[in-house]
Amino acid sequence: MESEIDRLRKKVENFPSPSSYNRLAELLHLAKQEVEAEAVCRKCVKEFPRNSQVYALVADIQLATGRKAEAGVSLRSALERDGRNYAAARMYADWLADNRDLPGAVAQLKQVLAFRPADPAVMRRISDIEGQLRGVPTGAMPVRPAPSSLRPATPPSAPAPPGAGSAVRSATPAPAASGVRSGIATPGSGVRRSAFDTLAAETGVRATVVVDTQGQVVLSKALPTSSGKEDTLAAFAAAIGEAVADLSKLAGNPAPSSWVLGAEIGQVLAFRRDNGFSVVALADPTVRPAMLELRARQALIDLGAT
Amino acid sequence: MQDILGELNRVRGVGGSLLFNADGLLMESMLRSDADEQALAAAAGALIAQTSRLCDSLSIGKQTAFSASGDKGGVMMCAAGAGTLLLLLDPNANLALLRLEVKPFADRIAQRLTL
Repeated sequence: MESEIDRLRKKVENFPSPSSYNRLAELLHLAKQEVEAEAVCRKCVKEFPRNSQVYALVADIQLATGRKAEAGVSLRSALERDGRNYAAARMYADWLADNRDLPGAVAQLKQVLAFRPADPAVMRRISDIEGQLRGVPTGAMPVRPAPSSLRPATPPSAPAPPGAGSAVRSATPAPAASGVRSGIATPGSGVRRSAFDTLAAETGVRATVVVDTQGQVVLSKALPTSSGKEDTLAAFAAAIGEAVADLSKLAGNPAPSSWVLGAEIGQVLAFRRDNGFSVVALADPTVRPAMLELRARQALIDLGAT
Repeated sequence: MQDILGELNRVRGVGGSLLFNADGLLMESMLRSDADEQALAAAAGALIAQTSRLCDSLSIGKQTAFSASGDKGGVMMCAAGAGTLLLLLDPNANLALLRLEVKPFADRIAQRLTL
């Protein structure tokens, strides 16, 4: 183990990557070198702030050293960066259960079932917690299948569809609120949302929505600080899209496929393709539109654009 | 003002320029195509009104720039003192470079408008 730690130490110095940092921190943690493991995690957070797994590792170290409250914060950070982080989601559910938030723990675990359908360990844990809620001792409850609304369309053995996790709304506020508006049929909504989730997870992105031509929200994802602004963003984006199309028509051009509105402390970016949907993002002023455009284009292709 | 717009139109990627006020009224223009200047100014004014309202609703401060682009060209708008400058862009326009190049022209127009 020692040689592997040394090898990884050299690797993170010469060719740093999130995976090598994570592995090194994991090995140090296993070797009970908690202080050094945490230092490696901090360095990784500094260099790769979007790395979700490292926050889960930090939480694990914090739990091992008795810092439960800090661990909760780290786990929320992990899930803000990647809502489909299995380890972080399960740890957070356990953390909620330890803090007597049993309904919250169940809701968290049900979110895991959305991207890991029929996961036996998760289903067992849900049964245990639900048993505790009813006053039955832990382990005495039989394992029940997931509720029908959460039951996967794919067989239990099939891999989870990418991005399906965000289609499920939690009973408790999730770190990044997301949702698919019911009643609006969209090709691929709730099935392939990985590109949309990736866009929403980009550094500096505060909120992202998929909007139809009438300004209705089809999909949305927002950080807590920007939550509630999705409808405003969608309605104005549709109106601005129309105004831009009118202006372009007068200039003798077809409607543009993207627009960027820069403001003092934020910017709004909108990208459209031929299927009538637009991806609109509210972001920090420092965010590079070109990078977001790539993600938005992929999200639109996921929604059925050509 | 025509001299500044004329110089601006010689910048690579710019296919025409137009200056309008907050009410969407035309102040000055130099377009290469035979587009309706008054209608363009009015449409640009309506667009600016919408984007201002969006900035207010989202509390992201005062708008500083707007650009829209597509396969066949696009538009760019930036504040120029009491007016707003609208640029019609060629399909091959480099938006990032144009943003830098247009700023001195906008400053000159703003200065001219305050005199």
